[in-house]
Amino acid sequence: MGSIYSRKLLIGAVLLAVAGIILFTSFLGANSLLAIGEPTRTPTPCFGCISPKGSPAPTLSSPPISQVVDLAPNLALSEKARVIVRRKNGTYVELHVSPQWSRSQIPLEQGDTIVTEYPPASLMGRHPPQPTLQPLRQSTLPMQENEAIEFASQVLRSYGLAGTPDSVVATQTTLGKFVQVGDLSNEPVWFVTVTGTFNPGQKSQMYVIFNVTTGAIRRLGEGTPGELPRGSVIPPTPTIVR
Amino acid sequence: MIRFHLRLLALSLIFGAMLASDAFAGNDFMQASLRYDLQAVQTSNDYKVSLYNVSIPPSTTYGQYTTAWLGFFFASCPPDPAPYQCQFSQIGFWSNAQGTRWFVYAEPGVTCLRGTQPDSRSCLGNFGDIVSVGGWRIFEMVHYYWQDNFWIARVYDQNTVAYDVARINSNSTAIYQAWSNSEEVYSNDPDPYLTVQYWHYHPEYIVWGTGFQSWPASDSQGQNTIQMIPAAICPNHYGDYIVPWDPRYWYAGTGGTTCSGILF
Repeated sequence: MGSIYSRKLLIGAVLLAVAGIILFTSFLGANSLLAIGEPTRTPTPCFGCISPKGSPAPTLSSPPISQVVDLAPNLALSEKARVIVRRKNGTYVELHVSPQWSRSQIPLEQGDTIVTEYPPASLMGRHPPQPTLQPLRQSTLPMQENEAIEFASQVLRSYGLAGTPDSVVATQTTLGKFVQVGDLSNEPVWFVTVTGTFNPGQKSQMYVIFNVTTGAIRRLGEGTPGELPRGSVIPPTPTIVR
Repeated sequence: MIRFHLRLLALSLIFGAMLASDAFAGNDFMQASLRYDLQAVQTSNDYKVSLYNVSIPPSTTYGQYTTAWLGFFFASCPPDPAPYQCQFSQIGFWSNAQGTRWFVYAEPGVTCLRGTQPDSRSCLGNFGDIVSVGGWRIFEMVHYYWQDNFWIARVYDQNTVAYDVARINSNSTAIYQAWSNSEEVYSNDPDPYLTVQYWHYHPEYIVWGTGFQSWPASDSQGQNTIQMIPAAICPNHYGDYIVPWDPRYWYAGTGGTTCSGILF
């Protein structure tokens, strides 16, 4: 009898141990940094950098959609916005809607809440055009005054300058007048202001600043170089992560 | 329940005709193209920039929003690329009238670690998660040699705590274009010229063993240029403002009056 009991006890202990191991490993798996769907906390790329300390708590949320309702049947899927609604009974509905809808047009019943919204996939990830460097003037450098004037008027046509400018004034100065940075301050530039009619039919003044030595356009704009947009303030510089 | 479905059906029919009409999407870019010709930059494998969102657009539809982002081509890009050939990848702010959130888009595909995953190439944070209006946030993309098959998209909160928000499924070890852009996106003409108000501060790349370095200044071989696309958006709608005492600090959005040129 005694041996039967001790054998049962032994089997019980083994089963408990196995269950414990399973529970422990599953707990580890759920909390491991390698678990899928959780933020990884990768090492910092350099000495002295702050360590990533982001919460390891899983935050990836993908509600179980029980129904998809297409309110924009004439559009391709990639053209539709998608709205995830949690119904008052706890189920989730995915609505496909026109990109011309706003949130106020989403048909909700009392107790429904919008969980998240996705823009049309077709709008995401549009390639910005490859940068086209402002064309350098083809004539001999350094740039002469008449060339700066001619080239400024030519460039500004792509910004809507219509017809012949009312006035063009070129002044040779240094970039330091506009950019207060040591290594740029002594750069010789042509500052050309062009007054004329710009589309859509507005009188305006634009300027082009050329590097005299290279002919490169350093700045092109309207008004006064370095003019802060109306109503804007420069935010204090961010805390540097080191 | 039946009433709900009838309402959906009615709305569907009402808007059906409207949806079938011709509509053209558009993008306005306030573009800062960063030089990548130097090998130290091209193969750094770790890049970041600070971005600041001043405001959200006051009224938007689901097809209208604004973004500011750090972006790269992780593959060489010919003039007429096949879809996703260039491995275009972005991380930054995404804003509409509901608020602002972080986003990651990457043509090689993503594994989202946070937020939600609308499709195989996108991750979207919840509104207010990590990022907010009125504060600097750092956005980073990094590729570690011991994690060969993916890049990490990382967002830092206001206390500079780092959050890995997505993996980008690319084993590239070089960049082939680099941008720090503001952008307006709209699904239907006419261009609504949404309010876009983002500041960009000090793009950086890493020199391993030394730390992050300021993006190299322009020279005759490579230039950091600003450009408005299409050109006609500037200066009446969008443009840049470059801080006079720090040309690596600039505003790109509504009211900016600098349209083109070399940034720094």
